[in-house]
Amino acid sequence: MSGTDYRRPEARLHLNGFFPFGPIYVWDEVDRPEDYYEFAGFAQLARTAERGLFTAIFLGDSQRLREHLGAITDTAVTGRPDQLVLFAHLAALTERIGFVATLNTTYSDPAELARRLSTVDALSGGRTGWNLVTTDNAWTGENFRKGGYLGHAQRYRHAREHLSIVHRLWDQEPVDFHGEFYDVTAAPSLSRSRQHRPVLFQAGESDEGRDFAARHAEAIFSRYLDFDAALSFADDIAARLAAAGRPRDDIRIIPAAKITLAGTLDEAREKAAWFDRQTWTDRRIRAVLEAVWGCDLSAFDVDGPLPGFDPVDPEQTKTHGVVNSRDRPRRTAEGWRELAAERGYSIRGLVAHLSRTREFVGTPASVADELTHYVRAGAIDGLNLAPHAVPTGFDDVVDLLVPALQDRGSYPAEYPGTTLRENLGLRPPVDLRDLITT
Amino acid sequence: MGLVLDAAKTADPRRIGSQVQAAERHGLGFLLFDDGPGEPAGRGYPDPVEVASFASATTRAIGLVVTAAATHAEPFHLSNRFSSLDWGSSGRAGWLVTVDASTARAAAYSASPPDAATAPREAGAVVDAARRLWDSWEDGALIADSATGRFLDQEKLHYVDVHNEFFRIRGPALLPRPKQGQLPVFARARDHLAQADVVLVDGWPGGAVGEHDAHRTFAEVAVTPATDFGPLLRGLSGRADGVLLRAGDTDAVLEELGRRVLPELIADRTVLPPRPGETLREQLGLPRPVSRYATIAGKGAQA
Repeated sequence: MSGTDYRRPEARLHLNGFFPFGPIYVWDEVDRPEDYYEFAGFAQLARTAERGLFTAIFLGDSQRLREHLGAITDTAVTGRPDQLVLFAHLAALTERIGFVATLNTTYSDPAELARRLSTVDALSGGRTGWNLVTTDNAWTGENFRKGGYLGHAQRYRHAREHLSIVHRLWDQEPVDFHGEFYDVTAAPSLSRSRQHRPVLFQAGESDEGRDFAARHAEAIFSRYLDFDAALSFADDIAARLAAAGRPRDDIRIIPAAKITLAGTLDEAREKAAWFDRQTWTDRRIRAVLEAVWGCDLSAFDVDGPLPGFDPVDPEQTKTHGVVNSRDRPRRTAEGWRELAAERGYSIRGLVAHLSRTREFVGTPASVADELTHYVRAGAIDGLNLAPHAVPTGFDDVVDLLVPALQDRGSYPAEYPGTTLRENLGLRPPVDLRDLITT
Repeated sequence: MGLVLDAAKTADPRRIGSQVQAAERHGLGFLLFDDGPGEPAGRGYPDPVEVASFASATTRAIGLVVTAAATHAEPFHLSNRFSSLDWGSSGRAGWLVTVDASTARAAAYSASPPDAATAPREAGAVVDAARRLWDSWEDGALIADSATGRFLDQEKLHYVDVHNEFFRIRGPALLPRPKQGQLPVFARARDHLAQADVVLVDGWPGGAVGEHDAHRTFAEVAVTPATDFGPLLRGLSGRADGVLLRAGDTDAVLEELGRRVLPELIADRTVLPPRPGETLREQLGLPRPVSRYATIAGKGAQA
């Protein structure tokens, strides 16, 4: 591939450290399970990430522990400290790395969220971002005063109201807002952010979610990693940005990814397969089917065929936080049985097929070449990297991949600025530009 | 005796860092990160939970007590935030729970202010919910058992199923039991909160305290750098377990305490500075309670 053909030959990759809930960690290699909750482990990861010039630490949101067949999921690392409390602590131990919190609009309060994020933004000298998510999940609502109050169709209308209140407070305007969902009178508690406002991330996949992103967001947490799919997602967002009157480079697209590195390609593949075996225990493989069938399948051999009977409840699963609760279990089960019959899959084979995702596996040089191609072609702007283990999970990437990317000129040699906005190379928020460029 | 200083209302990282490190160096028992009445309606206070968490990163011994009003607050968020602060500070966190029935706070939450009789009941319900959530992971719930592929012991996680006149909450908490098991909860005497571990009385106490072994009593008094601290603090012995000093000029009072007052009081053992690694409960002489769910044998997280 010749460099002259690239849309963005000078583009540089952003790396974020990403901590999701769930079964990605090889926890049985860790001495103390407390390491997944103690701030010292996160601090070590953050320092390693900052040594590797990562743009930000990115946390996912979950406001209820995952459940499987009506009980708390026990097969994976579950739960996590409050994101903003953790970030405030890490702000004292770092200088440049950013902090992106995934906070949902449905079960937060706009004046409280605005003040909390402003506080961490001030404590960190302007290094925060908000990954705005919506939920209409009544199951999560069982942990909150409001309960499950919001319908699926209302969730973005509600998010826009919430966001407009937060923005006004961040813009130093008194708020006297009376809308469909909120009646808020408040004033800003803190002065304006050093980066104008925390950077707004968004992760919606639906048409409505993408339009919301094109209008408001400055970075997108996407899930497209295959090159063609990533490029077509970037083009789709570019078209929506243009329709909203924004330039193509007004948004950063940063999908989640795993990277496995070794001295040779074969070793790297073997290492990736080992991680797969460690994280895909027989219990976890079986749980994928149990979530759909709605019953205990421990009598089934994962190397044998799928259950011949239909799911217990054809319409509603009892597993939460993993499978979309609007799934239709009977339809899903029929589809899986057909696929397994067609390809001769055992339960293990089917789950491996379903869970197969694009990963970056190779030598530091080969992965650096791949990622350089992605970023110069404009398919992605960065990656949200999940570590396999705490607190050493970023060591390989920082020590081996970052120098290889720097050699190719596709990764910065130092932090470009002090705020997250500067380090992402973003302009001021779109609706403030006329006011700021005076 | 613990000594407390009202932390200034600032989110300036350098200022906070130098204040908390000075306070720790001088041997203060704990700092109170206060909140303004009416917040988050815009009274100029940063969110004190996050400020205290920032302070926890550069200190090792000093307690970090944070004001958070119960009124209109989401108990699930509050409980998880305080638990997180306790994890991050290795057991040095405390919660001063307040009642804030102001119209300003209500308007910030799209709510109506509660009446005088309801507000304390609501605060009690919020504290009760937070405490149940802190207990909802028993000690030892993390097992990381490779042989069975279980990271958690389901039997040691519990739905709290709080249901009262104000809210319902299912649980369990989002993270394992806090280091202290239960964070010490501080409350003002006038709020009549039955579940407080430390009760704050207004002004220098007149009579002897000590009839309540279950909790500690602290006197809350206004001071300036010119206050004659020595006689006042020595005079407290037998009448209160400690004192919360409210200073208009935090920096000046801190300097005065560090320069003259605390060295003397520490030398004659009127004040015992906290030790690195000591929890706030230990500093206050409060035992670490077992989870209320620990005795329910065989009942796990099954719905």
